[in-house]
Formats: sequence, structure tokens, C-alpha cells
Amino acid sequence: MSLDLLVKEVCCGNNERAVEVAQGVLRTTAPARIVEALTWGMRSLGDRFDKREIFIPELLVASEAMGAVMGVVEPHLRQEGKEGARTTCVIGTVAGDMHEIGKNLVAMFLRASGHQVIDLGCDVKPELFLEVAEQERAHVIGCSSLMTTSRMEQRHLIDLLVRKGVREKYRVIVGGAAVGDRWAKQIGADAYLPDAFAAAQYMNELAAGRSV
Amino acid sequence: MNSYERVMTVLNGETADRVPVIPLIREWPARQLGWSLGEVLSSVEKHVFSQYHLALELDYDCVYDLNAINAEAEALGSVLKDNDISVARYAIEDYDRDCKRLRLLDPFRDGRLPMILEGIRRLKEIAGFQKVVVGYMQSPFRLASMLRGPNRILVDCLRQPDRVSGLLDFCTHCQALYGMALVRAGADIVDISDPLASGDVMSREMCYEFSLRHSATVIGFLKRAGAMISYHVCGDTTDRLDMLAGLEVDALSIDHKVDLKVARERLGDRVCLLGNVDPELLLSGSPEEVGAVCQRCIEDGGRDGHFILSSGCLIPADAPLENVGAMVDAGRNHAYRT
Repeated sequence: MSLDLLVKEVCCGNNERAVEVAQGVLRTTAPARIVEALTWGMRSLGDRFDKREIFIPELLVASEAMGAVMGVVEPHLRQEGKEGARTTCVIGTVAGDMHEIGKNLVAMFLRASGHQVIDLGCDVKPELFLEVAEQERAHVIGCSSLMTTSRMEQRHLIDLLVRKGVREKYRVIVGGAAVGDRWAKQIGADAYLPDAFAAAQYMNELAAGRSV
Repeated sequence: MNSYERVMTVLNGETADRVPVIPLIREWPARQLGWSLGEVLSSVEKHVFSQYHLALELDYDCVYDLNAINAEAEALGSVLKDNDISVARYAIEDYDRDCKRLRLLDPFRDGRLPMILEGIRRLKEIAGFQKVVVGYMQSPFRLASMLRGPNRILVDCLRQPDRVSGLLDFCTHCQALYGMALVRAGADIVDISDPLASGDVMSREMCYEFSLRHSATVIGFLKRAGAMISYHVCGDTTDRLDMLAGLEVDALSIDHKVDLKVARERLGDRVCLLGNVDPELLLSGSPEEVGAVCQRCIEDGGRDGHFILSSGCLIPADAPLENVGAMVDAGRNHAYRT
């Protein structure tokens, strides 16, 4: 049982085998080192996705496997006090938009990286984003828009936060095929994150107290 | 030539008087009249009136049915959110349990399908042979994804391919039935939508195995019935244009992510290209910017004809009237020598 084998099984989306290997590797390797190796593996997947060597289905199964392995590794991280500061993110696709593949990938990657994610699904009104963020004491609100017809809802969310006097409480990250850096700046979002890897990196930096 | 003659001439590979314009529209016409998507979902009259009124006002070449509202998936058991078109609950949570409940859809009885067909009949009655009437349907794979959930079916393609194939066989039968009903109701063109088939989502191999292979069956069936077919894939399809051309449809509807010049170079005059102004530009650009991009589209994809100017994907409901007008003007002002 080796770290390389674990990374391979996760990247191939072999859930059961990956969990089995993870349990073996935990006997000889520090959990933080395991997470570091898996993160590197997922980043490599991201590179392969960018080169179109793999596609969304392969990312989805790898994310599932990553989540399964993190379910085994995380308790060991907590025991060692190496869990790290977790951030809580409320995520959803905006009102009027039913696309969710990218948003689901982001949720999976964030959970796999140890963050708490409350996924509100699709067609989420700004008021619900805020309500749940308040209830869960979230740090970040992530809203996805895959259509130009729906992206105004991201602006509406930020306007709502301003109106309620809570804009400074939350980082607002936006994503989806309908948006980009320019749009994010235009509406006053904190960041545009193009994919699940960027989202995980952002949240990791935030959790570590580094400037993002 | 009138609009109908212009579009049919181009789809038949002949030279029209000018570039036809078919904007990809759903509730955009209704929004120009102050109506919401919810209002046209519940009123055939409002939908038909808005479609025809705007087609006359701007003089583009088509009217569209009430499209892309997940009507087929709803008819087969997926539950949509109240007064909305997004899916609240997918019909197939468990293959063993839920596939047994599936029955071939009845376009004349199930869900909102009869309302859509009524809309097409009325549009054909009004438009006659002046404007083309476009009827919309989901590809078998799209339908399967809205029965199972897009994420889950993509995972199933890798983990449970036999289950997906079985579901796709069923969806192919359903869409052949529905496509025929669209044609019989009066649709001049059947526009098949396949949002997950691009290189942004899946490999070429998966695209063929799970999507295009089944779409080809439906297309063959409808072509034998005399239908004109356009095929739309959202996203970047540059790496699989050859496969899409292999469907032998009458028009390929290209999203803005594809370079039209590349598409034309690769496909030659094999198929009519339809596209591909960025909907984002139609929403937030100026009429001048829209006009300039349309000119480029015509130069790149339609210099020698066999081209219909369109948006790359659905036009946002809030797109300004003058921007869609600029697109129509670009087509109108590009005459072909005959």
C-alpha cells in the first residue's frame, strides 16, 4: 500500500479500492501527508482536464473517490489536531438556472479538502443564500451561473448583502460559464473562480489565514 | 423571397436573396411585451402572440415553440419546480425501482406536451408559409440526463454504462414519437438540443457512444418523415464537428465558443451552419458591437451561403430589442448575388 497507489485509485475513481488503500497507508503515513499527496493528485487531474485528456465524468468519479477517502482520513487529522481551520461555504446555482455540474464539482472538491459545504442546489434565490449563510455562520457564499440570462442574480445577491448591512461578513465567490473576472469586478464579488481546483485553492488559502 | 422561402432555400443548399436570421429565442419575445416566462408557460395565447409579434416587428425569419422547458422529462415523471422549468426531483433515482414505471410518452396527453403542440399548430396557422416554425426537442441523451440528473448520468456513463444504454434506448423511442408529433403539428424545422455533448463536458468517444449514436436514430426517423432538422450543442464542439456533420442534419447550430471560420474550413459546404453570436454580447453589448460581430460571422461562415445568422445559444430574456434588431439588420444587409 503506497501513497502513489492511493493517488492513482482516487484519480481513477475506484472508491472502494481507494478506501482500502487509504486504510493501509494510514498505518504508515501521517494523515496530513496523505492529504497533501491527494491534493497534488487532484491538481494533476485539473491539468489533464485543461488539456482535454479527461473530461467532466472522470472528474466527477475522482471527486467521489476523494470524498470517500477523506471520510476515512479526516478523523485521523482531527485526532492529530491537524485538521486546520475549516471554512464554511454556502454554495448554489442562482435563481432561474438549473445547471449544476460545475457547482457540484466545486462542492465535492471543497468537502474533499476538508471544508464544510452547504449545497443549496439549483435555482437559489438571493434571500435563501443569505438566510442559510446566517444560520450556518458561513465564511463564504459561492454562487454559480451558467447562463447569461441568470447571472444578474449574482449581482442581486451582492446588492442584498449590501442592503442588509452584512456585505463585509461574507466572501462572495462567483463562477460558471456565464461569468468571468470582468463580471466579478463589475458586480463587486470578491473573486471569480474558474473551476473546482481554483475554488479549493481559494478556500484553503482563506482557511490558512492568507490573503486572497 | 419571404422568410420561409429564404430559410428553406438555404437549408436546401441553394443561394437565397440574403442571409436568413433565426435568433434562438424562448421568452425573449414575451419579455419585450412585459410578460414573464411564467406567464407564457401558462398561456399558449401569450406565447404565440409574442413570438409572431416580434418576428413581424423585427422581421427575422422564424417563430419558435415554447422550447427548452424540460417538458419531455416532466411528461415522463421528473418533477419541475412550481411555475418554473428546473427539475426539483428526477424520475430515475433508482434504476431497478424507477425504470419499471417508465412508459412511452404520449405527446397528445402527457404533461405540457399537448400545450406545446397546440402552440405550434397556432403558430403554423398564423405564420403559414411566411415564417418558419421551429419546434424544439431534447436529444435522447439530454432527456436521459433530465430523467436521471446530469451529474449522475455522467457518472453512470463510466460506472453503469449498460443502465445508461437501456435508458437511452427508451429515450430514443420517446423522442422519435415526440419529434413526429412536432412535425405533424406544423413544425417546419425540428431543433434538437444536446447540451452535454460538447468537448466542455465529455470525450468524443463518450459523445458518440451515449449521445450522437442515439440522436442519429431519431434524426433518421424524422428525416424519413420529411422533417428538416437542426442540431444544437452548447459549448465548444470544435473537436467533434466531423461527428456532428455525420448526423446529416440540415443545419448545425454552433455555439459562440466555436470559431466559425474553422468550422467552415473543416466542414466545407457539407452542412448549413447556424450561429453564432455570443448571447452575452446580445445582452450587454451595443448595437454597433453586435453588428460588427454579425458581419464577422457572415464573413467566416456564410460568405458563400449555406449559412443562417443566429445566436450561439438562447438569447437572454433581457437582451435589448435594438441588439437583436442589429443582428437582423446584419442579415438583411448582406445580399447574395444570384
